Amino acid sequence: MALLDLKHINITYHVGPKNVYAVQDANLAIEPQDAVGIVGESGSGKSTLAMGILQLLPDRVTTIEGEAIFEGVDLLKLSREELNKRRWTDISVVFQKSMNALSPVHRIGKQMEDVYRIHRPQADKNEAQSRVIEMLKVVNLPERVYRSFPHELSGGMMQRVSIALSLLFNPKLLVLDEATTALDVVTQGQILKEIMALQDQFNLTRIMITHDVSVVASTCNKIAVMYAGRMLEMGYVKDVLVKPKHPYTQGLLKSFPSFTGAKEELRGIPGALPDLSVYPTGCVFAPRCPYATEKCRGELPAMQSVGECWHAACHMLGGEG
Amino acid sequence: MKKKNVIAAKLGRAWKVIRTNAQLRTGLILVLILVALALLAPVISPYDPYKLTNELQAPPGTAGANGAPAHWLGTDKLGHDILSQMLWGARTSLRIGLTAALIAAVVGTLIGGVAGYFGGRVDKVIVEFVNIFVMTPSFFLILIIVAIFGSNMTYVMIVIGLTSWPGNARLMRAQAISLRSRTFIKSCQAMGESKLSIMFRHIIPNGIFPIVANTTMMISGGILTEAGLSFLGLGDPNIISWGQMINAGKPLLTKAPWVALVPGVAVVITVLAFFLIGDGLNRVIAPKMNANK
Amino acid sequence: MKRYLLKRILTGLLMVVISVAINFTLIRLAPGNPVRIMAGIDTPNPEQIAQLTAKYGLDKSIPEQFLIYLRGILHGDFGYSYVTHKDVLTAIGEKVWPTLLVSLTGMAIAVVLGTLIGVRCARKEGGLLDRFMCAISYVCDSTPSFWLGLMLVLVFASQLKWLPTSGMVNMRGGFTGLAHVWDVIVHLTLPVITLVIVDYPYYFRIARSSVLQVMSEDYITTLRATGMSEKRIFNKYVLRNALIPTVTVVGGSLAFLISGAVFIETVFAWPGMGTLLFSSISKRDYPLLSGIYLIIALSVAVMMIVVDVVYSLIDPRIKYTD
Repeated sequence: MALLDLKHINITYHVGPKNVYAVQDANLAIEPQDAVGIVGESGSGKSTLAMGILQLLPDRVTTIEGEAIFEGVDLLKLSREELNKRRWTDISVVFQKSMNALSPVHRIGKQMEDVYRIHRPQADKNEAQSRVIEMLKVVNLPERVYRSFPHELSGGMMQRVSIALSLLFNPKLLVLDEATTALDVVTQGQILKEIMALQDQFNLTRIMITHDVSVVASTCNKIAVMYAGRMLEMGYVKDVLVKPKHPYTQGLLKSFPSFTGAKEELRGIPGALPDLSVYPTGCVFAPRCPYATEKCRGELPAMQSVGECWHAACHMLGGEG
Repeated sequence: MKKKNVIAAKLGRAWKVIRTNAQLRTGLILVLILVALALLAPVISPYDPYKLTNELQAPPGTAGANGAPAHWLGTDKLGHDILSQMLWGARTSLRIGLTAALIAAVVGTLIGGVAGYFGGRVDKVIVEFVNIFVMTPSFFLILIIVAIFGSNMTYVMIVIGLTSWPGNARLMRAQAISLRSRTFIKSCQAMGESKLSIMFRHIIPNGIFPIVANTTMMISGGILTEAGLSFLGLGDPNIISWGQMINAGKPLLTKAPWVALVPGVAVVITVLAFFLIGDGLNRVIAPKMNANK
Repeated sequence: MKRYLLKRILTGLLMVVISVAINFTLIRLAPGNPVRIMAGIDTPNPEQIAQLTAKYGLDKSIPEQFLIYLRGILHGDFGYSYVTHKDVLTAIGEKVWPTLLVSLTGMAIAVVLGTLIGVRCARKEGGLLDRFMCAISYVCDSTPSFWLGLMLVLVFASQLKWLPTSGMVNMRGGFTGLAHVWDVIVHLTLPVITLVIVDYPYYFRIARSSVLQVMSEDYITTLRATGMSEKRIFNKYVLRNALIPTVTVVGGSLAFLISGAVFIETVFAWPGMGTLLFSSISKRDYPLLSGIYLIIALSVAVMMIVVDVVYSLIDPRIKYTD
């Protein structure tokens, strides 16, 4: 059974009189021990999807539909208290801007202890403190970080603090939202390596949200490609990144240097993201797709199986039509 | 032709902003009405504002003697028609507010622009100078200067203007510092344009918007300061101003409350109008944040 | 930090000296001869003039007078107020407490009220109370305090007769003890209400916008994701971060407390610094005027340094290393 099963997730932002369809009909199953990379350009809805499942989007301006079944329980139907009980013990997150991930006027150790006590209310001071220091050590941070303020640390160190914080309760699922994007390449490499090691140590299931295909290639076993609020292709990294079926995935890979080292022409995809405030009538990628036909513009392509655990949504792949 | 299109596009954008921003809209409408009333004062005033009529302390709506116009807002102790005085007083308030704010805008922009763009030692000296200036109790200074050197309206405008520029200077300095590192400024430098020319042709025009918003707020401040000085009896005796009218109404508070009430309401509305415009502009600059000082 | 403080104290002192010098010069450049006012008649006889001029050192040059003045201050001698016929420090000392009483009370209430309403409105942003308070605060902010004072007097003193119109005590009452305290409170009510209405919008807006800003920060999202209750997030993390700007502006306002009291004291005939200042201006009481200015400049300088120190205590990001 999947650890997390997303079924027909729709997330809509209400901005003034307009509706922005940020995530449309997303389906994704995450098996235990998986490391799933969700890839897409900015504005593709990948972060919205994650924040939506965790219900961290502002209630007043968002509607979420669909089901997010976590161990048999629909997260979207839980009350605030029930959800709060599951947060961080079941699912935890490492956020994008780690420099702002903690309150600037409270010491890091105290904040982490505060978080520890949310789910271990009876813990005494020593227990909380030793757990926090233990976790700081796990991510290779010196003990002095415990008494530091966030602004006293570098971006890489704060990222490690965020990771330590996220592992405080051995969560079943860890979501990393552009967790290494802001870091320099060397630090990013180190941290990714550490994350991989931690995955084995803590038996983590992991979702990596990133715009960087190379991060997915080097740290994940599965990939889901999102574009303009829709999932276009998903499957094992070894399949999707080697023989992409969807024209968008193909374009995305061409805009990155080849993994094999072969010298190929590097190019971007011409055009820009479509207006998300208009619900699409055809394939969302059609306006930029080199192979687009009348059918692509008029009819939404369904997700279809193209291999073992491999799906893509494109009319070109034949299938039912 | 092309330039015309650009201007039309800019006007179109401005119109859209005004339509969607309630503060800006309300403020602009109020200010337009006030300006119209002030400009038309000589035409629409029922009385000469200095004319001493025979109706003393007449309540609002009292009929004039011998078929003369009615005193819609009453008269004061000496029989001045309050409506007429209000209309002429609007001219004073607007003139003082605008002039003082403009002086402060020009001085602040220049000083802040020089500090931010030239940087280095010039910047350090100017920053210390501005700090000292911020720490002087400016209203106290205005009070002393006006009380000692006489309360001529021109003085009042200049003194208010010259004591309220530091806010603008700080804003402009911050703008200049952020603009300084932008590519288009660097390319101007590379093309050999002189520093002063760059400052006037690129830095100031590109960084002026927050100053415009702040200046609108300062019109409010100027009007309030003038009203305050006049209320303390330090107004220019040769002109009509709302502050002086409030001052004149103070001893009549129980017998003829309208004398102080009417000009006070006018001050509130006028100050509010400019305040709303300034706040509206600030929201346009930083749509997420709420404007504050 | 120590070096920074030392530097701040030095620049503060420099600022005080400079602004006092400017003020001193300004006053002495003024037209109008104080001797005439002191003599009490428009055309005093020449001997009188000469005697008074020599007595107050008015025959010396302005720089000389300034040096004499500075030397006096270092010895605790702020000069002699020739209108009130008192030592300047004594004259100020008598009036400073009433001013502090009314301004501090007004400010304290304005800060607490403004902040409470601001925090509450930010929590329910866009709600009925929020929209109402935002609109009202614009109007309150645009109202001149002196006019508002007059209107309150008109309604609550003249018409309803609930409260006295002016003064600090009932002159004919001759109250002592608790009765006296109550008498002062009754007289204090209207001036304080006026101050609160005019001043609270400032604190309201700062608290509101700062809470809104903090609530949109990433670390609040982090804390939500950990399952911390909204109540705890708000009480421990939002408030602690959002109140920093309030603390700083309160310090700034404290610095200008005295000079801001002129209007309220004029409207309510409150026997404080504002009234003293105003009468010293109109009667050209130079030593008193300079004395008041010096006290204000000093209090501003001191408060600014205090604000810096407090700021560094409540916000760990601020470190003075210069």
